[in-house]
Amino acid sequence: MVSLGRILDRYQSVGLGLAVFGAPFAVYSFLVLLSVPLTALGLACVVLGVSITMVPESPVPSDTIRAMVEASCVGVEAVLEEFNARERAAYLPPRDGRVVAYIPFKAGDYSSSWRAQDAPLRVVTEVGGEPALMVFPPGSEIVRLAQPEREGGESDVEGALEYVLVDFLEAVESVKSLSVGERVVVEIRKPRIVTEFPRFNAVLGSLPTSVSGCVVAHVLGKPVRLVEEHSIDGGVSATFEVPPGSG
Amino acid sequence: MRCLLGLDKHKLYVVSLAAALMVVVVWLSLFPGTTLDVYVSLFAACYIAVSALFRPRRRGFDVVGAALVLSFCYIVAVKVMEILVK
Repeated sequence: MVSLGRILDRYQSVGLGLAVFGAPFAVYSFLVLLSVPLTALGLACVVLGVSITMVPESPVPSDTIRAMVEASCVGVEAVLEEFNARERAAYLPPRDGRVVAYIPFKAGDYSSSWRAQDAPLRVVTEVGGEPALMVFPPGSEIVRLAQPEREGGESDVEGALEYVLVDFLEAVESVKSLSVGERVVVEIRKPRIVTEFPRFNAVLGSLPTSVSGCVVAHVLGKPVRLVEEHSIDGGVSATFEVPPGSG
Repeated sequence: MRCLLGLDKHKLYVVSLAAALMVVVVWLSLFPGTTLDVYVSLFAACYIAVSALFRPRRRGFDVVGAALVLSFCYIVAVKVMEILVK
């Protein structure tokens, strides 16, 4: 590792070396050697070097991430079964960097989702006197690792979903989102991860939908409640609801 | 796409970009009258094509892509001006 005030990883070291070689070589070839091909070679080294520098450190292979994600569904399914959770989850914005899924026990208790952000972070918690379940869905760790940008708010939801689901996790072929009033509709095409956990799917949505919920909550910084999920041609469409008056 | 030849997506991107740039330099160097703007134009085309194919993750803004596209636009603008002036 090269140290230039901070430790450079392998990619940065190699890229910097190529760029440092290429730039003066291009200038020298152009001005002294008067050789266009050698100048072009120097420029190519600069282009390649800077490109290599911008590639992040080797990410965890997506196959490994997918396997870990699917395995983590087993634990969540067990918890949901144990507490007989049936209501659709609300994904709360990150606390300590992790999105939490909030599942009220009481049927039709949607309003508590909007007040759950300050509820104690426990497996069984309470909002307004009503008990509820809190779990860390697999998507919370994925969002923590991927760290999609969140400065743009609603306009960045689709970009963040694409980055996490398509580029980082490679879990779906494509994803689109549309904000309509207080609802965010996410369309997922050709999901590559299909899990057969009935309670998980019923409460948190299918795995790509659950990850989408975590991403949307992370980007918007608001609780988002899963309203419905249904199959569409070649994929899945999920609708999330944001708190009233904030859409 | 990924895990071709045992390489992950990012390594494959780097190798492909290096190969494409090398092919451009070697091929154009066979033509003695080739000017630098032709090299830069083809570098831009190769970079955009390889980036679109692999969609690598990057740290920060794509400075290289922006510089190559701007250079290409400048080259085209100069050529158009030359034609118009003639």
